Amino acid sequence: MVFTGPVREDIGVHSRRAVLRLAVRAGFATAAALALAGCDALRRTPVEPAAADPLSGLATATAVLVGRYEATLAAQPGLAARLAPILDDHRAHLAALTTDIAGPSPTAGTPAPRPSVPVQPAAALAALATAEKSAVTAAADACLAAPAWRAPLLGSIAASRAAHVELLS
Amino acid sequence: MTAADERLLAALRAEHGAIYAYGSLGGHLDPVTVAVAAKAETAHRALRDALVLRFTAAGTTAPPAEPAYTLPSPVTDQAGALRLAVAIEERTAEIWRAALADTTGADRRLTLDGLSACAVNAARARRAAGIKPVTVAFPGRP
Repeated sequence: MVFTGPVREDIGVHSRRAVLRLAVRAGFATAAALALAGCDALRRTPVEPAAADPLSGLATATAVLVGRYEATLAAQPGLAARLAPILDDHRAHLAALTTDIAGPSPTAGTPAPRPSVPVQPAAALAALATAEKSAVTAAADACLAAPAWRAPLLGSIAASRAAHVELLS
Repeated sequence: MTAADERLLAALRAEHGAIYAYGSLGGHLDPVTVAVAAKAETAHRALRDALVLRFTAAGTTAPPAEPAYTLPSPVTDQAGALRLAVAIEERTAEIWRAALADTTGADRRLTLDGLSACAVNAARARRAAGIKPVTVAFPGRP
């Protein structure tokens, strides 16, 4: 439970950065378009900032989760056989989410700081299990709120994470 | 009948088949793996019951199980039994996943529960059988 606080903080910081990046890029794009269109466009065209994709928060949290597994594997090489297949899944989820999201990659920009890893392997596994349970809920909530075309991807991610929880316990 | 009804009906048929298949596995499993299969069968019975309730509440009679189902291959030992368990879970997961796009609200919640249960059962069976990788990134994706 020590580790849930910092991770959520990371996610929040990251999400705000992602939104800022989107806003800044949208701003540049708008400025460029207006420069091309001339001054009339300035008076006639209302400018709306681009909205963030609803999945960008989930993608950012997935990137944080990948970082958490990488840090744990680096600190606990004895857990490699158990954790490597799960890390592979999370990387595949991140790639799929990134592909699905229009706009800047959630992994671009400043990476989230690496979380600290417990010294004892059992505690490291327990910390991952806690993070994975939160990740199940996040993916399930996203699936339930998603439009039809996105529900299968998000449902598969939630189901995969549910299996990870089982394998970590 | 709506698209959601059709999908959930397919899921119910798959759950009937899964329960039948698990019933045929028990004799080939040692006490440790028989517990894995028993957990999976319990999960499938719960999903079947939830589907039957869902159709009954909607005023539709849910179809009962067939007297028998054809298994993809004869089971003669524990390894074969666990491979069949993995195959059942993967096939049933595909049917649940296909229902996600056509369902909303409580139906989608039930569908996600079904897909997740299959993914968890498949991971347990792969672990018991020593099948690698033990987990897949996109359960139910054909």
